[in-house]
Amino acid sequence: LIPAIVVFIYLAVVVYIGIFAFRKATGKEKAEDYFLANRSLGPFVFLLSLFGTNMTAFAILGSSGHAFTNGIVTFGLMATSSALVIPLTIFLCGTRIWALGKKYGFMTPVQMFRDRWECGNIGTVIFVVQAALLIPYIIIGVMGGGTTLNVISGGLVPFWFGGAIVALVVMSYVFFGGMRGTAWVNAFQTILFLVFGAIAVVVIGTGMGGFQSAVNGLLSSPATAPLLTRERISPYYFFSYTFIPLSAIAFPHIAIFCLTARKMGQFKKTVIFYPLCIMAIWLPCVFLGVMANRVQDVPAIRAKVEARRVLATQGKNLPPEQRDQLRDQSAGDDTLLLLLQRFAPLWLAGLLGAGIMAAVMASDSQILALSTMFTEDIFAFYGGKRRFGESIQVQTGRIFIIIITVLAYAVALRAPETIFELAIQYAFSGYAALSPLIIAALFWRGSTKWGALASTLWVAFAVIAVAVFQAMVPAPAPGVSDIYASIGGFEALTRTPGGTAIFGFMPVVPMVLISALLMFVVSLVTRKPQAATIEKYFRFGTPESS
Amino acid sequence: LHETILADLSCHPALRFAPGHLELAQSLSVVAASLVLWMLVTYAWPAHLEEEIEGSGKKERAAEEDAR
Repeated sequence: LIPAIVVFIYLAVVVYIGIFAFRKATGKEKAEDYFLANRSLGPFVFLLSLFGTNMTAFAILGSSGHAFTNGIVTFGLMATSSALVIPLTIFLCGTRIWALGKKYGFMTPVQMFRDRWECGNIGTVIFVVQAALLIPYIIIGVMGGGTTLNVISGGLVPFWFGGAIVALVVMSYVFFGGMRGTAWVNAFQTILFLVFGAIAVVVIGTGMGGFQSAVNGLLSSPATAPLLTRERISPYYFFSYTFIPLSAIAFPHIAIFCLTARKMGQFKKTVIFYPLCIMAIWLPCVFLGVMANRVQDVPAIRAKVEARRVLATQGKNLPPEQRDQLRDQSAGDDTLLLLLQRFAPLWLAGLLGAGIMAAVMASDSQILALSTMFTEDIFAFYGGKRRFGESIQVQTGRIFIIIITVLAYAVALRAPETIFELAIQYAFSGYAALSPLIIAALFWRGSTKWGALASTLWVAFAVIAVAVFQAMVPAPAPGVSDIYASIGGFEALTRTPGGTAIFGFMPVVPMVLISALLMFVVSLVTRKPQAATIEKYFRFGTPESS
Repeated sequence: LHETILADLSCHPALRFAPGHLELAQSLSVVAASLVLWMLVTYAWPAHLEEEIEGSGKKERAAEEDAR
């Protein structure tokens, strides 16, 4: 119970930060103050909270779970490409989004698209697709909170109660604190995780008798030695993963966050230190995930390893349902929590659990982004702000936060988690495939609203198509791929144990390439916006701009 | 590209014994990314955007003072 009490204290601190931010807000309720912290975040909070916003439960629990199953390759797959691509997109696109937002008062990416391409309803289509890809994150955040509290308390806190507590806490500080509260909480959470992540590595490493002996133990067994190499991952798969970080700048909560900096110079430290923050978080998570394979005295971990062994040796002869069951049993998303329970003293397990809870609760910025998008892209765009005023717009945003959190909690209690895991798996690909919109809007004079519409509809179609394909076609046994379409002797469409492959690549590759191609071709043959509109976006720093 | 090279390297029998070193290599590539970004920020910073915004801010403040 002690770890759960420590986590509850942490949650109380987080709520207090949100209320403190509420009291620091400027007197009259302004949309820009509530949704963008008055575009006034300082460099320290900007770096830590932008990073924290991007570090979700999937980055922390998911990376250690992936490393538990796939080995040390996880760091190369997910962290190294993110370490370069994400800060590079922040450098290239984030700075421009900030400058345009500051100059023209944009608060969401859709507002910018509407102005840049002179469109109205096409902006609404983009909003719908962005929102649909964001909602599963919020639901899985509530589920993650419930699961984490349940595991940390040793089952004393039931899933429904843990989920309710997490939903209530997130809703409270987002409701009261808006962007200021969310940014402060994210900065606090990032510090917490960086500090306790390092402590966790030392404590668990010592508990396991040192990492060197753990590594030697893994190498000595033919079953676990491949976890320390990258030989089981194809170059196509590696290449595909470099496309995923493109999603970061297309995520509305990240793009909106770029608008909160007080000065553009604040991006400098963020861009330079972002890769080092990624390393500081991912290295311990991946390493601990791999090392967990050596911990045979924890029954839950032993059961996972056994399920994986059965799947690998007898998977081909088992029915699909049983294979799925074994896959669920072998999933390692709770590995980090199990290691904490085994090796950390109770009080430290509580603090480290609070750190993990911090990552699980990263859905706060997504809830706020969705509220900002709804109030700006729908409520204000369709006349609500003009008719009812800015104060009512902020109140609408707050009511939206309550509605979306309650709905997310209700769905989290009823729906199976796997549906949302699947949705999130392809939401990353979906957002990566939406990145040509941002790039074209900022860097290509010739882009048009029809090009943007074609890309957006393609993304919606592709995400649904892949999700339906994976839901309907059962995953084969490990080491086997079921080919469903061939073109010219090449495997065009394949169902793999981990997902879907298109010409050997993950779906994200064709999704991004076709999205970019559609943007290019359709824009070429359709009418451009007026010259004055285009000049607004491409005359920065020229004599006529001043 | 570096992922592919590292993937190929890791398949090399000589390097299979050194997972720790490969992890180090990946970490070094992250540090290298940080250095590349530092160079970008230092030598290719879009200062014109910054000047435009801060310049227009100064003009607005000056106009406000004149109006007073």
